[in-house]
Amino acid sequence: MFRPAKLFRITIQVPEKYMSDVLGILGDFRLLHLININETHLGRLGYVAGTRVDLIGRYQKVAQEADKLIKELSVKAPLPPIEKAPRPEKEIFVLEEELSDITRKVDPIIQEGRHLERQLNQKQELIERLRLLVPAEIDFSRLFGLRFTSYRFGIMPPENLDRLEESLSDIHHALVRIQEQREKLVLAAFCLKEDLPVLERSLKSAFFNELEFPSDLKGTVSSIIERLEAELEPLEEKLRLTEEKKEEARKRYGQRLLAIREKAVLARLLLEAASKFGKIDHTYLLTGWVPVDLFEKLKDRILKATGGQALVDCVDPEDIREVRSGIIRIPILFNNPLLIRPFERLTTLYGIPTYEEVEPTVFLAISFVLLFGMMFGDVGHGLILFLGGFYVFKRLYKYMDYGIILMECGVSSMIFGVLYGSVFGMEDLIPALWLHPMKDINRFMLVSIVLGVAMISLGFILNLINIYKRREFHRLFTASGLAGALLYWLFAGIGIRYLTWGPPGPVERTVAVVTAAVLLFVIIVERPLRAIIKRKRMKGRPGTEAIQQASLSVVVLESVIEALDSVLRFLANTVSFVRVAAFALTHAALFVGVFTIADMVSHGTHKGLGYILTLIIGNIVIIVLEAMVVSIQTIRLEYYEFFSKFFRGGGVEFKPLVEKEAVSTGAFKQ
Amino acid sequence: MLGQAFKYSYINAKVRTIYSKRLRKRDWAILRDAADKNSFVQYLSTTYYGAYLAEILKGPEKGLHFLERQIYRALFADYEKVIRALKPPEGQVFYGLFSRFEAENLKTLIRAKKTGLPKREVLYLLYPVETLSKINWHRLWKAGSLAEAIDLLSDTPFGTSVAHALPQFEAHSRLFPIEMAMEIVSYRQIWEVVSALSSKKDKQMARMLIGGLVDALNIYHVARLRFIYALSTEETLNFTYPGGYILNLKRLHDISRATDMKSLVSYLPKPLKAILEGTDSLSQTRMVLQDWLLKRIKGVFLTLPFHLGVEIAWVIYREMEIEAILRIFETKGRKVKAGQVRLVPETLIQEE
Repeated sequence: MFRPAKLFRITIQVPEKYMSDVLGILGDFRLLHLININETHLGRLGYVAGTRVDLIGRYQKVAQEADKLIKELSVKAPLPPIEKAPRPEKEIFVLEEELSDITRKVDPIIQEGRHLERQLNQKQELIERLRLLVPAEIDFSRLFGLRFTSYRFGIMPPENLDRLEESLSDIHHALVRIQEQREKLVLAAFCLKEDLPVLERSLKSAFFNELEFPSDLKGTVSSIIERLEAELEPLEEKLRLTEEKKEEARKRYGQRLLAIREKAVLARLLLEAASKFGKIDHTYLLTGWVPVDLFEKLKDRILKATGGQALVDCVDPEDIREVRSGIIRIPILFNNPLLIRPFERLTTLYGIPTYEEVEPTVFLAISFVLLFGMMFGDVGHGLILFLGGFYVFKRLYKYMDYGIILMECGVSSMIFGVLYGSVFGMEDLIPALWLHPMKDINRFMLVSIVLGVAMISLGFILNLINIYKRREFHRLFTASGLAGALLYWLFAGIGIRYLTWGPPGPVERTVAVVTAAVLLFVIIVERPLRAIIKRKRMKGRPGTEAIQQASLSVVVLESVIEALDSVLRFLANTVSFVRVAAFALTHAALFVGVFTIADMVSHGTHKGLGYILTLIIGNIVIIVLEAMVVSIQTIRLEYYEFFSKFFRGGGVEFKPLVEKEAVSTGAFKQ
Repeated sequence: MLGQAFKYSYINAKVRTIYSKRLRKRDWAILRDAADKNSFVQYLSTTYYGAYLAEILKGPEKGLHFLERQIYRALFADYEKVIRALKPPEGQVFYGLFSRFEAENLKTLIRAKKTGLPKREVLYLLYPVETLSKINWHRLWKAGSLAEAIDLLSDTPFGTSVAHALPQFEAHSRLFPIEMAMEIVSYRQIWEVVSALSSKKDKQMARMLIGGLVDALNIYHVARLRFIYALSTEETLNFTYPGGYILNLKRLHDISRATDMKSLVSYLPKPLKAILEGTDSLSQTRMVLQDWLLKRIKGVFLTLPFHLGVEIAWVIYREMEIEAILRIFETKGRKVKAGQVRLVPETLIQEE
């Protein structure tokens, strides 16, 4: 939990004919961080395996077609787990056949549905257009029978009508206003057949947009609309039946289609990964990192699948010279329990840990939940956060981690809600087991500062462990090392002594001043001393002129400034934790505000719809606003006051051969 | 009358002060005789326009469009002063007049969107309207496509008209209908606000001046549409600007039938016919019409002072002054002899 999973570097040599099976096995295991062959000697010598472009193309096509059907059928079922990764060379035939079988059955239903929808839309649009002509009660049968007259129906800006009328004054014409609605004038324009070009030019330049009607319309506008509306009903019935068929197809084939798409995507990813493999003659070479406890299982499966013809070796990273010298960095595979795991996202946002430092996720998780609960303590709000988190966890697979974080924060809020005696801001429903933030401000602030001292102290301790792990013992004498930690604890001790028992006595003061002076002196001289030693060691070596010429007084000055800066930062970092109390107070104060507004709305009666509505809306605002602000403040405390004390980062992320999430959430591209 | 005096005393005094700083005969002569663009700009910077020419004086850029962008800031500053001093509906008249420049910028924007040019490539063609305009230009320029830009226009006064012209654009991919719709809507807006004016005198002056401007523009516009673009009579009529003072629809229809400049003039009513008799080119027609309008404008400054006409007269005067400055500037560096082409309307240079 405090350190990442231990990894072995493995090398697998497989004869070409078994490659597809091995790819499938690697897909099953997933936990292999592949090393690109191009980064090794073999790759640089050109022994790189090519990718099966043709096969990748076929898988891509299968995935696309399956996706199309999934969308057409609106399949929304949960994604099926792919227990066994496909064997890319063989699976394609199975998937293609299965997909073509489903397509044969489903496609006619989809086509029929589309055709019916098209027909329905066309009729509805025609009805809409005809409705514009209703006031004129035109008889289309007579209109189509006109031999010497041309006509146009359309919509135009009403303000252009005068000019249109004038522009047509040279020809015989009639403009009939049918109706006007929302800056649109529905107009019928008539002229003699030979004047049609003039009419058309005029209409066009007056921004008249023609309404077109099919030439087979018969009867008056109202009768046609009636007829069309009657025709809609059987069409809608047919469409409903098609929808039922689609529903049936969705039930029958939905899961299968999802599985086809997932398998195709997984196979494509595996094939693409092959570009990182090496190849000599007919043998493939794979190299990468796997967790130690998976190695034997992986080896057994590969040997079984290849009839013992594959070679699977592993090397402890300690035995690799490049790893020891820092040329190759081992990727970090986090190793946290389920409830802690989601916080890995927050850790990696700050940096990827290295093997030479403590993996900080567990500390982050515990302190995050604790700080959040303290700032957002309310049983009701905590419950809502928990339920919200549960919904995200259950329904939104992609954001499952955030759902877990939300649930944990909700539980913490509920616990602190019990301690503060607060349920949806009402402080008289349950007794406060600890304190009311609004009534016990001083005590709460003191607790916040003590919590801050504890967290910063933990940061110092973790940094001491990191110093030991990195063998950087000279850092013990720096402001972030043992000297700094002792100085901080000295200050913290004096502070707590002052706040709880009053000012320290003269002996305590003398001891504290002398100790602080000694520690400060150690911190200040550490750098100049190191510079002198380095200078002596480097003396006479070529290329070290800059070190030799660097002014010692400048180093001393920098060191003094840094030491003073560190002392100030100790104070600032600790005081920063007062925000825990401040935000808990804000939380309570917002409730006071909401209740005051509710009182005003209900004219002091404490009842009525307005009162309840104000309380509900107020609570929603508090939950959304405060949850956001408190999360940001908690992250700020974690990153700036805690992580900055010990966590350096700079590690390499473990990237599995096929990312589990990438497949299930549709890494597939159109 | 007392109300009118209260309403206009401050802004009229202000406008008359600015009017007194207009370019005089001597200025026009020096500008006309300036040896090159540099000395032209140097002299112009000693006039009222100097405050707006700092950028052009600093840099090497002395192009026409660059000067245009700088110098139009003087006009828009005047618009701003007038709009600040007048409440609606009077102030709205100037927003209406100003919307013509917004329409021009929108035309450029739409062309740029159609051809995929970014704003910086067409910047030199844009009027500096941002300070006064209520249109969200930033959003419009950020639009990824022409369709998106047109969608965003729905929030502006141009939205409805553009929506009416859109089907024609979609059918033939020609921007002309959209551009015409924008121009027409800006004039229609002016006319709507003029009609909403409460004072009879204000309305009368606004109709006379803005209507005169529209008449002059329509004559020139009809000539262009008929003789250059060869549009039909009915199309030309439908594309004329609404709101003329002398030219009603009937007259506009008459001149839209013209086949050449001579016949166009023959269709005009008496006063306009008299001044345009003998003109045969478009540029000459424009100059004569501007002269005619400027005479009316000058007349406004000689009548009773408390009405909207003074402010309208001034912004139109300033616009024509700027146009004349730019016309002279354009000839610098070309081999155009002084006096060879008439660049400035006579009325502008009459006074000392």
